[in-house]
Amino acid sequence: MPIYLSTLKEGCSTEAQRKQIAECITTVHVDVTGAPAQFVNTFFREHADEEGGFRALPKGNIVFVNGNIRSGRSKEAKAEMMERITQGVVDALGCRPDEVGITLNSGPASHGMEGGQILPDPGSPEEKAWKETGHAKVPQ
Amino acid sequence: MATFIATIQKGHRAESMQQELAEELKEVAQESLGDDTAGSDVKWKVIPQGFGWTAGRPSNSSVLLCVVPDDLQFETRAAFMTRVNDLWVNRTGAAPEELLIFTQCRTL
Repeated sequence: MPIYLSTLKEGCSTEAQRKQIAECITTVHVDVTGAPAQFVNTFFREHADEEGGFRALPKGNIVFVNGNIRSGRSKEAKAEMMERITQGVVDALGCRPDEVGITLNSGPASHGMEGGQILPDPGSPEEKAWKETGHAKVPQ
Repeated sequence: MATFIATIQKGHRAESMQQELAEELKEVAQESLGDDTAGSDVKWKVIPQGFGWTAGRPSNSSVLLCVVPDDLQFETRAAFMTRVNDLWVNRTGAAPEELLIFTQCRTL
């Protein structure tokens, strides 16, 4: 976690643009929360299928970013992430800000598992140890 | 009843094992969460290769969203996710860090 599930209008993005968006989301999340980059996951889908956590595209949007993060982040932190990610998507796709939708959902850390470990709460002693183990590997 | 929604990238080993993995996930749900989860469902969402990224780089990660009964105790939820993780890793050969599991209550 976090997992950013982004719905894109079909045929409106290249691999390079998706890469730019994934890099932007990673950078912003790491900057604002201090989480290691290897914990930041971004998935894209070009079909509005909400069952897997992706959101349908609102009318007029060409992308909708549905971010799922652990509970415990401040309103200010979430506002900064949403603003910077929106700008990053605009830069990547060359679209207007009003064509970009974004939401951040917070869920209990203990409801998720990565690397075979239950996720710790942000700022907890368990999180420090979790980060130090570096269970998640950066893809080569 | 529990519902699993697995998002995998095309070419992932799980793509060719959907039926057997689904049966085993259902067994894990029933054994871990009780008979209330008999008749669980498993849905597959296959996205193109190159549509999954970790740390800003292409990855082979998958997401498994599990809709589970309300009011699960921490220990029960943790044991359930551990069994799901172990099954997935052992059967598909994926690395543990390539699977993201989330549980969500039915009423949300």
